[in-house]
This record gives sequence, structure tokens and C-alpha cells, in this order.
Amino acid sequence: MRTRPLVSLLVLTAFVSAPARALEVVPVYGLTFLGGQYFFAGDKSKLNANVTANAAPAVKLGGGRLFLPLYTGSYRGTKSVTDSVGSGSLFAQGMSHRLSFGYLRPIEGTNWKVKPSVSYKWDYLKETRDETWGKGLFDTQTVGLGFEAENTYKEPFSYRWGYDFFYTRFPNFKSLESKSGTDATGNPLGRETAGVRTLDTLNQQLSFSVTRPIPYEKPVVALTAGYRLLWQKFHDQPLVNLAGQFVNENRQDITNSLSASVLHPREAFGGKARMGLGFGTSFNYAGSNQNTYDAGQTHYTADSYSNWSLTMGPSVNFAWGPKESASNASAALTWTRQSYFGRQVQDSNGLYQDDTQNHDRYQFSLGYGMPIAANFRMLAQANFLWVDSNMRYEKTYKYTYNTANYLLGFSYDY
Amino acid sequence: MPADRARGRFALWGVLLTGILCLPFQSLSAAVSITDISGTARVRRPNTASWNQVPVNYVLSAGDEVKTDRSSRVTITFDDASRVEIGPNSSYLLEEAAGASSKMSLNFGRLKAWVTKASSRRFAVRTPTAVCSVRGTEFGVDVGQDGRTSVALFEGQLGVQDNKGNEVLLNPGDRIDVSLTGLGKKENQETKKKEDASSERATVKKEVGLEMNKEQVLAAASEEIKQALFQQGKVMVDVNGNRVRIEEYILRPTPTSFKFVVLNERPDRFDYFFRLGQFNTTLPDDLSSALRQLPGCIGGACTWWLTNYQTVYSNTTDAIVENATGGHLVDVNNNADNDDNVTAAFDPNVNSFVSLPAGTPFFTTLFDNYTLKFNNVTHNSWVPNVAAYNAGGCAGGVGAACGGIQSMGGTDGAGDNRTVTNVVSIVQSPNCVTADNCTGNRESGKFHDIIYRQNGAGTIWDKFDTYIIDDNGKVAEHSAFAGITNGTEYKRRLLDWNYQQIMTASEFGGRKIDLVFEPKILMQSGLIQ
Repeated sequence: MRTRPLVSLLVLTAFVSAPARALEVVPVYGLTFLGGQYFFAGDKSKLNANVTANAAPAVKLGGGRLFLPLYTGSYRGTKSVTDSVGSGSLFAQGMSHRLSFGYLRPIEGTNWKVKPSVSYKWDYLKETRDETWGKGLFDTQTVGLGFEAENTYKEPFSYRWGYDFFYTRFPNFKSLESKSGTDATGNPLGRETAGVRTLDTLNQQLSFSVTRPIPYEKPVVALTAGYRLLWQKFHDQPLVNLAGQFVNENRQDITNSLSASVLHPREAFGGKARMGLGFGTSFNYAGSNQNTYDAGQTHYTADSYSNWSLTMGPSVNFAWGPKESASNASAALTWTRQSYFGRQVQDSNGLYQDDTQNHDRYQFSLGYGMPIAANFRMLAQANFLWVDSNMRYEKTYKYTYNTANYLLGFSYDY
Repeated sequence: MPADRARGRFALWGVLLTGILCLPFQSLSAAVSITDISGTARVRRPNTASWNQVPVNYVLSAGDEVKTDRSSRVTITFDDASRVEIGPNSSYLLEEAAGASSKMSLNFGRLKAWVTKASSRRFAVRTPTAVCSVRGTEFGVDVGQDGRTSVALFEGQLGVQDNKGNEVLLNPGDRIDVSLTGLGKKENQETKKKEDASSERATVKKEVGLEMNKEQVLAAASEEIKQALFQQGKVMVDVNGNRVRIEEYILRPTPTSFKFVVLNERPDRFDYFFRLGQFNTTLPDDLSSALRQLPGCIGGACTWWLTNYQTVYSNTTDAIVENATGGHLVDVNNNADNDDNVTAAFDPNVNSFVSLPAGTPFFTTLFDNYTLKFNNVTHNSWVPNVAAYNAGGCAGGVGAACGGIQSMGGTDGAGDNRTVTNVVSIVQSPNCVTADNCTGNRESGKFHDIIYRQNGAGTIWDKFDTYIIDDNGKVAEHSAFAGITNGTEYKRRLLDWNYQQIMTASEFGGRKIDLVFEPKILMQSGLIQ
């Protein structure tokens, strides 16, 4: 992963183009510390903390140009309700560090701004007792290159185009088959065509998003809409055929995402509070050419990964007090239906049925924030998730379950 | 770039000034001269049409007009040391420069004035939209082509008046725009700076937020990949709380054979299991129809059966190797030996165990020769009794007359067509030395069982430590099986759990083979019937 030259190039480019004068820095820092517990299937995790931090000492380069180094880090000791509920459900710790460098440049005489960026992210997971930081099976490293162009046609409303290229690597994950060698009788245990780094992906993403006031002159609501096209190439994951053998072609996924949300701000309680009423929806279509072969059941599933999902739900936020130091309370409900095209359901014994899998998720979130000192806010969150599915085989993964978590803490924002 | 800087300052502090401060004037005739010129400046005398280039130290009279071009700048100094700097592209008129007042106008362009504090002279600047006069002040004026004027005050106090007579008093740092429609909103430079800084911070925060949102979308793609592995059961937790990766797949070495492989990996070890089976005939592309018959066939003869197989358990150093040859079908429920009758069997049509009424044909494969070796040391073996072998003719390759042993016999050995050599035998209470080396249940109320075998001297032994666990490594309670610990219902319930078997033997030097299976795999392989 040769990222250093890329980073250096961007830093160099940004500074070479800066006039030779004292650089002015606009620092932005943030820290959130939350402690809480996760509940699943009648069990609860130990009290643990979630911490996120970001630092962006943006450098003004004159003419509206900005060099934006950004560090974001997080430690997660309490699981999110939306995390996977496979093995080690209650015990999971995550840590991530991401460094990015962006360069923001307005185009003179227009409303356009362009922003190239590079980034590198380390994601560490400890999901079992024997895993240590840096040795997690699902640790990832991602290097990315991005380009965005934004047109702020009416402050603060804009539309933006983006292109991202990123490579995600699971450094500790190689297929077991590729590592199996020969058996006790001297014959190979694995197939010659087995991939090694079967989860690593080359990704390219095109995106477009727009925010727009409605009506345009005297806005009543703010509309946000976006479209995203993600192409993922699993360059070392061969396709599986009907006989459970590999063929000489690799997996590729394409995901189309369309999203829209509206926000209607208004006064509440006779002007004593400000209220934001929102409604959001999104539709994803994920297509894949990969199939699966369940050796335990000797069952072949064609088009196993392709699926669509629809998400929608309302939200409400109340804020009161001075705008700079407002208290707020929020609630949001979302429903998601995910439906697979080829992945069949199994009965409780694992026998495959004709129907394909459908999953419904209902998530309800509550939040409260209150200023407690300059730049400090006290935060409280609670999240509840109900998941239902027509998949009845739950030996290795839960498809119908409830989870919840609560988090209490504070944030510092400068 | 001084010019740029000066332009910037004018632009920043551009002003419309309408203030008036009056003081007694001490001298009735004041000398006003051009003391500095950058670029080219031209002057037009009153009542003349020509514009003449002027040199430094040119003395201005009332009514003189001064113009600067796009890159010029002119400094005019009064006798009380007050001075006015006229910026590029400006038109300036000295209206009066005598007595107690200095009056001038700026039709367009920019100027900045430094008025001597000690002076008592009235100092006024007029623009198309405003008039201001001042004493002891430093200020700047910027007049656009449409007369719109901006005034910025740096020191002292300044009154700014529009054409309608409205007046506002500026304090240091204040700035105001004045147009034909009147006074604009007074702004303080410091406040404005803070607002600008706040705006810049908001811009940075917005970019940080966008970057973090984008990152969340990209991270979701990785989470999706991981979740698929969980759903496929390729990642579990063993009874010790350690992560076990599991891969299962099937190899097709020849058209009549298959190799079923299970790989287990933990951070510090790699274990595997495979079963290589040779069938009686060519296998179909879709193996499931053949493998479904491995546990045995209910009601009729199987189409596919194993003629020999090899099963290996290994930790890559030690190996338990099981070899069987001479496989042939026998209807064990209708052979001469009642001790080998099968009363429950796995029915692949319902993917579960079903009870078999007495007399229901159940065809299964019996093997003539068998060995079980631990690191090449035989612990168990059998060979056919010569007298029973190949007794009689054979019709269609199936049945008692087709040769090979026709019964495994019962626990009493009755009807057994084999000669069995067991080097080791099961050790049970009360003959156990320790609880860990004792066949039986190891944890009360839980599915943790041990099979311990040894020879008479105890020099050769093997041990199978078996757990039934969920995908989190939690050992199943007997209550989860409604107290059922054997039989058909037990096997049916077993399908919903995982099977962890830790194997060791006297030949392993303290090492272990530690494998987590799906019980279904053992059934598919014919190991559980």
C-alpha cells in the first residue's frame, strides 16, 4: 500500500501553491465520550465507552482556498444496535484511525469549489477474547483518492459531484483453503484455483447530491437528495459454480443508491422552541455475480448476494435556548426492508426452501443534548432495533432478534 | 506586492463618509500639495478642459481636480500634516483649502485620510451619496461608479450622513455602506472578523462532516462483506471463547470420488478434517443427490454408495487416520442379524431424523476392512471373517449374496461377520484414574462429554472431548434438549448446534486436534447415522 507518496504529493501541491506568507490556521476539534451498555437476547454487555475524536487544523491559503488535514479516530466499546449479531455478539471492541488531506479551491467568478483529497484508514476490531489490536480477523485498511466539485448556488444550498477510488484490504484475512497446504497423506487440501485475499476489494464510486429549498424563494422545507453508484471488484474471489467448484472469473458487485430527505423547520411551543420535522427514504439495489455453495447442505445458491433494500422513516428534533448553546431532544424511526433475489430461506433444520430471504428492521432512536459549559454538551442516546425475517435457520447467525443500547456522556466541540 | 496590499486595504476599508466635525481654523490660507505620486496623476484647473500630468510637490488650489489611472496613487498633504491618499481609478476634487476648513469630494474611487488630531480645521469629504467631516481621525472612503460608498474608521470618531440627512456616528473599527437609498447597517470590523472566523469554522466543520459521512458509507461496504461471512457460518467462537474460522468445501479428485474438507483456524493453530470417498459409480454434477444417500437409504437400495473412504483429523502435526475398504450395501433391517437393526435414520427429504418402523428396509454401507490409526499406531481394526466372506452368489450388486461382511453385529458380538481387534477399550467409572480420563458426562447438566480409551497397561490411549456449543461458544444445557441426550430427537436437536471435538492420544506428545464442526457435516459424511 504505497500511500506515502500520494499524501506527500498532495501536501506539497497545496503548499507550493500557497503564497509565501504566514499561514492562517482555522482549527476545528471535536471529542465525544459516551459510556453505555448493549443488550441482546436477554444478555447485556459490561459498561463500556465509546469515544470519537476529530481534529481538522484547516490552513487558509488565500483566495478562499483551504488545505484541510483531518484526523478522525474512534474507540467503540459498546456495540451499535445495527452491528452484526453473529459470533461474539456482546463482546466487540473497535478502534479506527483515519487521516485525510483535502484541498478546497473555489473557482473564481463561479459558485464552484473543487476538492481533491487522499485518505488512509486503519480499522481495528477485537471481537473475541483471543484477538488483540492489530490482529483482528476483520481489521481493514483503506486507502482512498477522491474528487468533489460543489456548486453553492444559493447559500447554504448546493449540489455536488464526487468520484472516489478506494482500495480496502483485510490484512489478517486470507482464505483458509489457500493456507491449507497438503494433508496427512501428502495430497493437496485446497483447490488450485482458490483465492487468497478473497475479501479485498477495489472500489470506485460516483456520487451526486443536492440540497434545495422548496419553494425556492421562500423555503418551507429543505430537500436533500443523492445518488451513488459503487462498483466493487473482489480481485481474488473466484466465482462458484453449480458443482461447488471455482471458475476462472472473479466476483464483482455494483450498488446503486438513491436517497432523499426533507426537513421542515418551524417554531414550536409558542416560539419557545425550534422544531425540525424530517422524513427520509433511500433505495439500494446491489447486484453481484457471485453464487454460493453450502457444502454442509450440498446446496448451490445462484445470485446469492444481489438484493434491494428500501429505508424510510420520520424524525423530529426540538431545540430551545440560544442558538449557540441550545438544548435539544430528538427522536427518529426507520423501517428497512431488504430482499434478496437468489438467497433462499432455510427452515429451522437448515433445509433450503423455495422462498428467497426478506429482512425487516425497525429502529427507534432517542437523543438528548444539553450545554454544560462553553463548548461542552451533555449527551444521552438510546437506540432500539427489532429485526424480523423469513429465514428460520439461525445456528450461525440471528435473523429475528431485538437489540438495544444506551449511551451517556459529553461532547466537546471547538 | 505592496500595490496589491494597498488595494486590499482600500477594498477592505472602503467607505462612504458623511460626518462632520467642526473646529475653529487657525490659518485662513493653507498650502495643499501633492507630496507623492506612484504611476501617473493628472490635474485639471478650474474652468479649463485640459488634463495635465503633474509632478511631485505640485501645489493644489481650490477647484483643482485630480485623477488617477488604474495603477496610480497620489498622496496630498495639507499644511497641518493631515494627508489624503487617493487610490487607483479615482476622481478627486479639492473644493476648499483655506481658512478653517478643508473640503473635498470623491466622485468615484478610493481614498484614505489621516487627519491630524491637533488640528482645529474642519475637514470634510463629500461623495455623491454622503458627506463626512472629521477631526483627528483616520478613515477610508471607497466610492463606486454608482455612487455607492463605503466608509471605514480606524481611529477617532466619525459622523457619516446620507443625502437624506440621516447620520450615524462611527467608532474605531466600524464600517458602513451608504447608497442613494440611505445609510446601510453599521458593522464593526472586530465583530465582522469574528463573524468571518465563525463562517470559516462553519465551512471547515461542514467539510469535516461531509468527509465523515462519506467515510461511513464506505465503511458500510466493508461491514456488509463481514456480515456475509457471519451469515454463512464461517466465523464462530469456540468453547474457550476463541474465534474459529471455518471453511467447508468439496473437491472432486475423480468422476467417482469426492473429498469433503473442513478447515479450522485460530490465531495459534490450524486443524482440518477431510473425508475422501470413492463411490460405486460416476457422481452427478450436483453432488447433493449422491451425498444425501451416504447416511443410508430408507425404503430401498441406494444408487450411490461408498466402496472405500478415508477420514483424517489433523492439527498439521498429528493425524488420526481412518481407512475403510470393501464397501457394499446391506439392508441391515432385513439381514440375518437383528442386533444391527436401525430404528431411526437421517432422512434428507426432511433434513432431520425420523423413526423407522420395524422391518422398514434401510440400506447402508458395510466395509470389509477398517483401521483407525493415531500417528500410524493402530488403535482399532477389523477384517472379514474368511468363512463369511464372499458367501454365495450376487444379484445386482446388492444383498446378502453379494459378498463381503453382512453384519456389524451387536454389542454382544452376535452375528458379527468381522474379526475385530481393539487395542484400546473404553474406560468408565469406577475404573477411572481422573475425571478427565473417564468416559462419561464431564459437566453436570451440560453437553460436555468425554470418551477415554486405553489398553490394559495404559500405555496406549486416546481421548475424545466433545462439546455441543452455540455460535458464541456457549455449551448447551441438557435443558435446551428438553433433557434428551440420545436417540432420534437428540440427533434432530443436534442439528441446531455446533460440535467441538478435542482429540488427543498417547502418540501426540501432549498436542491436541481441536475441530469445530457443523453436525450436519458429520451426517453428510456418514459419520453420524
